[in-house]
Amino acid sequence: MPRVGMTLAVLVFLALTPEHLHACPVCFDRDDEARLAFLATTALLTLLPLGMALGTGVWLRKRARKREEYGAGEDALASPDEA
Amino acid sequence: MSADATVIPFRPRPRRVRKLVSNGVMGMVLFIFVEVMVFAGFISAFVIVKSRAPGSVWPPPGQPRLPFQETALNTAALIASGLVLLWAHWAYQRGRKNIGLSLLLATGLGVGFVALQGVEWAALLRDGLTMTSSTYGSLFYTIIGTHAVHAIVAIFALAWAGVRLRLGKLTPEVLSVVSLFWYFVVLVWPFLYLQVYL
Repeated sequence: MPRVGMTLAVLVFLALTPEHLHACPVCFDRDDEARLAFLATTALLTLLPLGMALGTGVWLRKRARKREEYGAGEDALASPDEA
Repeated sequence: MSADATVIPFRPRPRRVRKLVSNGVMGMVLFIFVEVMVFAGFISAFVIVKSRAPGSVWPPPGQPRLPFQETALNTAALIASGLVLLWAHWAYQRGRKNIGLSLLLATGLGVGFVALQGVEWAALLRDGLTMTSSTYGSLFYTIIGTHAVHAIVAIFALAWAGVRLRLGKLTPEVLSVVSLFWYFVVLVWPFLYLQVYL
C-alpha cells in the first residue's frame, strides 16, 4: 500500500509541477490550431511505434498459441543453440 | 581394439524447431514499421506546416489546387489492386497455383495508379506547382513522390513474383513478403490522400 501511495504522489507531482515552456512549440503557441497540431503529431509519433510493437507481440503470441493448440508440423531446422 | 582410438565428441543432432514467422516475413514486417514511421513523420510535418499557414489559408494563395476528384480514381485502382492481390495471396497459401491472372491484374492496376499519378504531376508542374514554388509544393512532391517510389519498387517486386510463378519457383513465403510490401503501399495511400489532397 505505501508503494501505491508513493506512486500516486509521484504521478500527482509530475502532473502538477510542469509549467509551459515558451520555447517549446508543443507547450506554447499563440495559435490554437498550431498547438493542437503539435500535440496531435507528438501523440501520433509517440504512440504509433508503441502500438506497432505491441501489435506484433500480440500477433506472435496468438500464432504461438494457435500452434500449440493444433500442434502444426515442424518447418525449420535450427542448431540446438538457436532452439 | 586399439587403446589410442580417436574419440569423437558427442554432438546432438540438430533439433527441428518451429518458427512462428518466416525470416522473410518478419524482416518485411520490421521494414514496414520503419516505413510507417517515415510516412508518419511526413504527415506530421505536413499537418504542422498546414496549421501554421498565414491566415489559415491552405493551400497557399497562388498555388494550384490538387486534383482531389481525379485522384479518387487512382485511389480506387490502388485499393482494387490490393484486394485482388489479397485474394491471390489467400488462394496461393491454400494451394491454388493458378493465380497468374490475378497477380497480373494487381500489377496492372498498380502500374495504372503510378501512370495516372505521373499524368497528374505533369499537369501540376505545368500549373506552376514545383518543389521550389512553395513549402506546399515541396511537401507535396516529397510525400507523394516517396509513396510513388515505394509503389514502383513494389510493382517490380510483384512482376518478379509473377515471373517466378510462371517458372514454378514462387514459394508462398516469397509471395507473402512481396504482398506485405504491396499491402503497405496500398494502406498508407488513403491516409496520404485524405491528408494531403483534401
